[in-house]
Amino acid sequence: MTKYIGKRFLQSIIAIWGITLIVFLVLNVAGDPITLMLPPTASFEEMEALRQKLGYNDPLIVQYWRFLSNALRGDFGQSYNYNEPALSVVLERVPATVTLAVTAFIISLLIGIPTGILSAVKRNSVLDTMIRSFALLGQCVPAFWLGIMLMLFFSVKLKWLPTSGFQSWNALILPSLTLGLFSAATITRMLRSNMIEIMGKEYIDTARAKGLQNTIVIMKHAFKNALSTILTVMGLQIAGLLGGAVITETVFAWPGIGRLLVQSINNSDFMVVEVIVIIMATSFVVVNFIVDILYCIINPRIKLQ
Amino acid sequence: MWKSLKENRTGMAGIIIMLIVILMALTAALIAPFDPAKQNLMAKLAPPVWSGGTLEHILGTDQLGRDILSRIIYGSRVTMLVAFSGTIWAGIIGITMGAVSGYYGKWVDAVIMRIVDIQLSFPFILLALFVAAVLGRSLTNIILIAGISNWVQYARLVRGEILSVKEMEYIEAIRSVGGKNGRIIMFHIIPNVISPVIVQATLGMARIILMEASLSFLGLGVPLEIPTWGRMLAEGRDFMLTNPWLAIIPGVAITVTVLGVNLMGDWLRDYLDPKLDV
Amino acid sequence: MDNTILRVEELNIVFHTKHGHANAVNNVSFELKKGEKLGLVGESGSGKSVTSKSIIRLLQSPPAEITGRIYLNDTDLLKLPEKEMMNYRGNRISMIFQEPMVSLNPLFTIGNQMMEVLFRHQKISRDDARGKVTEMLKTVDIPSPQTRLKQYPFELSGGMRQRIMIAMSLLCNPEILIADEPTTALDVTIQAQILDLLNKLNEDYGTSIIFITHDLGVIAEMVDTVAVMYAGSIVEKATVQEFFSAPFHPYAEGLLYSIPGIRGDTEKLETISGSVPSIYQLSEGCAFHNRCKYVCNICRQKKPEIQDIDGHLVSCWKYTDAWKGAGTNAG
Repeated sequence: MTKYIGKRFLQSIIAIWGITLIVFLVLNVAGDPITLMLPPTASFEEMEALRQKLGYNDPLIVQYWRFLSNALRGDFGQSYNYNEPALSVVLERVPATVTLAVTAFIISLLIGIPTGILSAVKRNSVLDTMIRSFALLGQCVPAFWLGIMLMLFFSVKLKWLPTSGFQSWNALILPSLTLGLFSAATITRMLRSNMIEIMGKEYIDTARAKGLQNTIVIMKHAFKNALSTILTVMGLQIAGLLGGAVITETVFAWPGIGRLLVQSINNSDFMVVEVIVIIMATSFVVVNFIVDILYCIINPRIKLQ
Repeated sequence: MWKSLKENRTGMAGIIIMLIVILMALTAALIAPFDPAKQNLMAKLAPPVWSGGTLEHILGTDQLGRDILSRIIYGSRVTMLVAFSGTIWAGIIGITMGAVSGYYGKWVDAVIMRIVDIQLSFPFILLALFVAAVLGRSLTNIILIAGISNWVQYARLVRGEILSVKEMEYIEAIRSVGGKNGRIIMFHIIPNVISPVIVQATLGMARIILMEASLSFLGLGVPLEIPTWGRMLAEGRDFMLTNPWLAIIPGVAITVTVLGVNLMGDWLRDYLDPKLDV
Repeated sequence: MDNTILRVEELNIVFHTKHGHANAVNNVSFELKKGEKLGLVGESGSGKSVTSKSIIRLLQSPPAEITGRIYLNDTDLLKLPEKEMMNYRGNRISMIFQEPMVSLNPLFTIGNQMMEVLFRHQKISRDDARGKVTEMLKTVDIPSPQTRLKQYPFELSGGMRQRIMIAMSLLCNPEILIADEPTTALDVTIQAQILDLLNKLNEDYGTSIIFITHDLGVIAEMVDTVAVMYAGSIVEKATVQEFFSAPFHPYAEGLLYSIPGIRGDTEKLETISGSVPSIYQLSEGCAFHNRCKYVCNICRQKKPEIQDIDGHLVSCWKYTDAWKGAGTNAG
């Protein structure tokens, strides 16, 4: 097992490195940061001067090395808009996003897992049809529209909840619900089909033949087998949650890095964009790594190899 | 096949929705009552007909007096164009990469699979945003992004099929009586791969439609003059208190379209499934 | 006198599916004595598995519609509420299945899965449970039982897993063990070991066994009584000696004589022409009439009643006065 973890750890490091490379390449090769940093009226000489000063004329490798070594020291350049180091601008807003994402994740599990199991156990019943319809709809509704609709209903019409910002814990409800719903729908669907498949297996018959109660058969024997699938799905959900955070934060004016990302893109604040992308992608890699470890713990086959 | 459709009403509904939207997109110029860009500040923010509006603007008008119905109809063009082209591109890239990877194996395979892994490590909306940010707003860029975000699933499918076919003993049997690679591909690999690819295509289309809408909502999609449902939502949001329908209607359009794609995809999966070799 | 522990009476099982109604089991009745080994023989689709699953009530009740009576001693199992039936399963009636490779949950240890049965049905401490399980593993000839407790199913071979299944099923000393083709998925050598094991356990514990199989060779080695099923009905029931020396029912005859070598040297293998009727559309007459060498008019019109010839039961018109001569389905 340690060998497997070690291998995955190495892969994660490589993945993170690959991400920095891609980010660097896209920013510096596909786009031209200089043009974006200066007003359109800047002359060619001014652009050249800035290019020289900021080291953009150096060979790409040198630039990359500079980028990498700075990055490892936490120096990602200066934010154009905030006049502070890009990294601190971003780090300030990370807690808000983490709160949002974690809450949304918990909500998606709280909704997704019970409905997935119920739906499979009471297959083809009215409850099952209802759950499946909601799950399907959950995957079709664009998150930003859902957020707006919820806002319209709960904040504007009913005035129960605030529309934006993070002044109180109340404000967390609508955004995390919006963010979590798509995930919940996905979990419901996957869990349902997985459970149905598992419940058709012979070892479930054996469990029943031993006289075990239905709840135990389902929760102990069936569900544990479904867990590995859920874990994989959950890993992918994190990506969706991070991406979805961008939109949800924009809709609800939530002060997190998602919103910052959109603002920075619109303001051409590339240093900040760079940092955010790297942080988000890295966290995704880290979460996947953790998921892999959990998977190991559950599945004895890998443990013993 | 028709029997299966008739039995499966949701699949039928999905296909009907798709046909309506496609038709809308194709005949937009003919059926839209107004020019979607035509502004009429006298009639701005008019409510839809069921909320006190006139029959002239059945779905109301936006903040610049543009007819919502026409903008919805024209918006379907972008949606369908991006959905189909994006899917086709994703398919082309994916199938090629998957085929090369599976067929040639060894380090080619290793490299391509690493790329797949790294790309999967990247939340795709992040990728889309990032590329959109750097490359700017244009229709081609969005289609490109759609292609890049979705090729991975096709690659894995094709590669998987090639690998499993490679293992099968009957391939040895065919080879031993002189069968050639081309024939093997034609008759053994492609038929098995078509069904899951088609199912994957419909699911991918749903993702692409949502992705385009999200990007347009954030202002990073197609150029701002082109009417698209995501953009309409973003604009409508500012006027939510005056005319909430501006924000509701485009969302309904998106949801219904994605629903149609998903229903069709689900039906296709069930229909094609019994024929798939496990 | 009566040491009958199981009495199945007029068991009928119909499956309601979107393709129609499948009459999987038709008016099946039989008895099982304490310590008896009954072999239920038939081809796929004959209803043998369904019958046995219904005894332990593992059939999903829609879509299955079950009528009749199944008496374990004096209790009608079919009338028990599910909660009580659960107390019988694994405890007074056990069942083992065909595929040992997938019959055990891959994510739990052997020890966990076996002790589970004890905890479910008895008040027993962890240590005692472990002790009993270890003992049972020894009884089924599994080497190093203590190590096995901590192992996972994938670490063991098919033969060992089947032994574990058997061990698990006997932990609570059930009165009846239903074995649904337990050796079909195993190598022939392992098969012999498992059969010997089952015989030994039957002798030592007195557990009655219902052994389901399509393999007549296994029947010959294992059981005391044979019951042959065809298209959902029992067509013959006899002791194993009587059966093999002279089967009564034409189907059983056909089965026996299609085995190469059973009648000494023959040039051609005998076959039974035709095919099994669909259980969605059973005829009025005898289910076997369209393939029977001895068919006559009454066979086509009415279902035969069960004839008892000195304890040898057969469901065939040939053994009644109503039968008239050889039929038109010869060869």
